[in-house]
Amino acid sequence: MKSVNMNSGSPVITLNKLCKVFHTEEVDTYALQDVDLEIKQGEFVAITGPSGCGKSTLLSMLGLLDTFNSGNYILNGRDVSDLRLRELAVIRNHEIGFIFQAFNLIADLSVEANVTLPLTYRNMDKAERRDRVLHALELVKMEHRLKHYPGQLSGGQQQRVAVARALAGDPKLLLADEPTGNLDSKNGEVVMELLDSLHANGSTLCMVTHDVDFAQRADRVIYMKDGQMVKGETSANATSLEDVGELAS
Amino acid sequence: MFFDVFISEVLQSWKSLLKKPGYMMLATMTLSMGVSACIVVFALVKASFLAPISVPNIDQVVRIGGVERGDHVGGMAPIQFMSINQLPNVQSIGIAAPAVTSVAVQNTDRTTLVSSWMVDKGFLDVLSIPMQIGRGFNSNESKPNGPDALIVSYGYWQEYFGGNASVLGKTLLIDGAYIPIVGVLPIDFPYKEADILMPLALDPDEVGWSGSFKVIARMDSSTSIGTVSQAAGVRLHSLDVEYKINEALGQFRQYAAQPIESALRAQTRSRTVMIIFSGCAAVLLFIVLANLSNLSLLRIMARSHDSAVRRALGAPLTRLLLPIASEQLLVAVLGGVLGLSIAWISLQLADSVLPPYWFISASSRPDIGIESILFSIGLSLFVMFIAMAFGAWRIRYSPMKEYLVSGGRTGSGRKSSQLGRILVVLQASLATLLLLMAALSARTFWKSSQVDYGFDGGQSLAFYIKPGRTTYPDQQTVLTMASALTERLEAFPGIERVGFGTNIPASNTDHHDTAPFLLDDGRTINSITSYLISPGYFEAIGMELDRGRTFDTTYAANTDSIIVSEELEKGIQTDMLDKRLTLPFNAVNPEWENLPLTIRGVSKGVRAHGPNRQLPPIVWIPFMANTEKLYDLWRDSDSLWFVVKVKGDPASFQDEALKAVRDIAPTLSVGGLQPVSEYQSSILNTQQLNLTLILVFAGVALSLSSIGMYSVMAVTVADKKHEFGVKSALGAQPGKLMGDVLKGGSISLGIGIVLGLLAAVAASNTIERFLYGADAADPISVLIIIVVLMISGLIACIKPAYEAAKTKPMQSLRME
Ligand SMILES: Nc1ncnc2c1ncn2[C@@H]1O[C@H](COP(=O)(O)OP(=O)(O)OP(=O)(O)O)[C@@H](O)[C@H]1O
Ligand SMILES: [Mg+2]
Repeated sequence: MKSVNMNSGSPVITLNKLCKVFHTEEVDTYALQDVDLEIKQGEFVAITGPSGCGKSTLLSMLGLLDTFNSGNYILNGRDVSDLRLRELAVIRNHEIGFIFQAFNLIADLSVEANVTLPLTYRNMDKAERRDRVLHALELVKMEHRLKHYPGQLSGGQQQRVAVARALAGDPKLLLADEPTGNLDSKNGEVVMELLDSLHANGSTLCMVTHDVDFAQRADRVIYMKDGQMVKGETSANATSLEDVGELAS
Repeated sequence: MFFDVFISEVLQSWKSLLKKPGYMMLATMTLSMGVSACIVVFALVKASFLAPISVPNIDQVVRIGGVERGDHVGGMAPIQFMSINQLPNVQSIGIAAPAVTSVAVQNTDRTTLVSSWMVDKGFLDVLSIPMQIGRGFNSNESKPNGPDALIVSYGYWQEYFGGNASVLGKTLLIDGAYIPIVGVLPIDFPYKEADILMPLALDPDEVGWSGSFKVIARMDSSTSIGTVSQAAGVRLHSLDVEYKINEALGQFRQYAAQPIESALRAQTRSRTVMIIFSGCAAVLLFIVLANLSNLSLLRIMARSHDSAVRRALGAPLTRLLLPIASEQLLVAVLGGVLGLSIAWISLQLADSVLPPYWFISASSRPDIGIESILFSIGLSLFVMFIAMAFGAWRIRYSPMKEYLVSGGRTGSGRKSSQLGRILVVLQASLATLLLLMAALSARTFWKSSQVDYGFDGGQSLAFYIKPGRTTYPDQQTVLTMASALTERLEAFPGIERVGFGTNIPASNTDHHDTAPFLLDDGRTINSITSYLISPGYFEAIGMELDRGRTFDTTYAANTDSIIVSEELEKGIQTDMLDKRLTLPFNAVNPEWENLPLTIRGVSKGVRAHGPNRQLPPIVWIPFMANTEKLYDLWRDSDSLWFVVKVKGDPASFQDEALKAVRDIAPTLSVGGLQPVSEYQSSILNTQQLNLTLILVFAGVALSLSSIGMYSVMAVTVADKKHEFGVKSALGAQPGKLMGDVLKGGSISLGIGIVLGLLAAVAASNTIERFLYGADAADPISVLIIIVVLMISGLIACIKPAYEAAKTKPMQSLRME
């Protein structure tokens, strides 16, 4: 594991006037408007804001799940704006780990197979795959459920498996969209502690959350509204979302 | 990619395929139906239409003769054959008797009538087909009064000589003479009607104008048909000039040479049927493809969430397509193998019921060849390819975010479900088209089975004998014997009336007794079907006169009377009663006088050539003193047919018939002894077979389109389970949910049916051309089809609709 070296790391993510428009029959939704953002190596950034402000959209841009309309995105020093689908897939697989609100485990695959899945997309031999999977599952304390299927697990357990799956590939960047959204507070806390410890071990983390308490644990909180970053983005000391709303208006 | 990953992914996809076997079963069944239908039809078409004819360099072999109706080349008289004997650019030329007839072969215990045909050495030379064993005729045997010899068919050899080579030393006892067997025809000999070939020996000094013999010739490879056609035409025309044929006939005849291949292929009479089958198979194939596309699309849609997750984890395209490919591979292999097996079994089952005349030779039976196997592999791969293309399309154009953020609950994406609906519409319209075709064919065949033959043979028994020239040298001796036989038969209690003639309508034997007739105004009418009959004939076969009177019962009283059918009268468009028709005997032999005949009666139309052919114009000529020459011309190619009208079941009088023949003509054997109704139904058997096959196609099409409907509705409902749960939670009645599903289904179906009907209207010209007597815009068929399709479509929707109706609100909302 890398040593903790906040603020001094090179930028993992640099966004430059990123825009995303959804065209539908009735309206064009400007989900992201001229978003500038830099996330440094080892940083833990929380994104928050009212519903529909574009948080999930931003995160899916960061995770290369969707394309944007204009602007620049530099990921680990490489401009990914014009890459082909195949190259994007390779980057997702090697450099990004995802954690979703809805877990998104594959119901047909066992816990072990789910966690192994991203590794099978690389050239990696069986022994190493198994090592990494076991290690990741140990980190989330799910190593005793290798042969279970997602349907046989509780929500919190499923999300821990999802975290293990995100970790297994040893990504430079972890993205989480409301990882605790589907969990009760106890299970949410477990997952948050997991993310905290990952951060403490040097991972770069970007998390969308509605939960103010969880947002406070980040190095930095970004507030969004109507597809834009709200000015006054600070380190984690704003007290509530309402404050931010007033500030912006 | 590591091999173990590959294997486990493939196994994983098979495992999940088998866990819910519904999709696999539907897809496999659909594919196998497409494969088997196409292979069966292809096997039939290949065996009947495309089968190679064993004649080497067949493009150099032509048939030469007079041009008949429909531009097809007919036969010629021996004297004409002699005139073209030494044509330039022709390697060899040969002649065969006008028709296959039968000879009585006496075995130790009994006599059997065996189909026989007379051909000369040249005829076999032109064909140049190697014998199975032995040899063809030599030039001595082809000379008048040459040595006797005969050649037997492959089938006869197998049946009576066990395929033993020792047959070559043996003889057959025919008409009192022991005739040596010199050769055996190969199994693929294209003229397959005759079991015995005898040498045709023409005496150059005695050839005349009688008979319509088959003449074939082999040209030099460098010569065109046109050249030979013209050279023959010039010779034949100058012969006509020499004999002043134009004066006897009122005009000159046309002659031509035609490729023999088309003539041989026309013999199979399977063109229309095969075209209909091919059309059905093609439509069915499209339905199958639409259905499989639909199924794989739905399958891929069902995997959307799975595949979105994998994509988010960075799976490359190949890995995303791997599960689709391996699933499809399993379906392809199973479907292909199943399809081949179904095709094989169907062909085995069908083999005995397929009419032999569909096929060029005994060796060309429908079979599954390498190309059928390649076809099924190709089709399976194509289906796999379609699925992969859909998969790639989905991966390329469906956004991942929606599936991942909401956990795959937002449904399958509108574009795909639109495509699914379009495919359902397409299937429904194709099924409509096919069903319409099937209904029309069914009606046509039904109509022809209901058709009025113009006679009522329900109470009659028929058989034929073949009086040989040694025992019965002329018409008079034949008539004496036949009259005695008639009297003998009529003496049996229960037998009401007996008649005889040169043929019976619907005998299904090649009916070549056509003659030209001259009208008093100088016009000639050609190719008139003619019968020589006895006075009791009409009554015995249950035929009625429309006008006029029938023949006198004593032969002597009939000196010039004939009866014509309505059709002949219609063709000439005047009242023919008491008018004259003249037989141009003078054109046959310059020493003969033309024979004028007076029309004494007009009979109803008779379907002599079968139920779905045009009514031929017919002339009924009574046996009388001046038909001596006519009978002499016809007797070799004809048998003498007896019709016995009885009280009660005709089949129960077979013993009486045999007994009477034994008493009166002990040297003759009886052939074709069965009720007239049997003759009629044996023609209908083929019709029934066609009908059955077409109905099978229609049934398969119907079930396939229902399967398509079902799968779309089932997946749509499963896809909207969440939506239904919410609706139900909000208080929607189960009936309403069910109604929504049924409504969605009927709309797709309705559009499909309308499109199908429009397509049918567009294709109606083509359809009507192939279905004699059918009216494509038949409202009852259309109505029935709409009802059947609607019902079957809605049945397919019922289960999905029921699933929708019983959605429990909590269950589907809790579902993750
Ligand atoms: N596929 C899409 N098509 C059209 N509009 C979309 C699509 N996805 C998102 N949007 C719109 O973009 C905007 C941002 O959506 P996004 O999902 O990013 O919101 P969010 O901040 O994650 O909200 P929440 O906190 O409720 O999850 C919304 O107005 C939404 O309506
Ligand atoms: Mg969101």
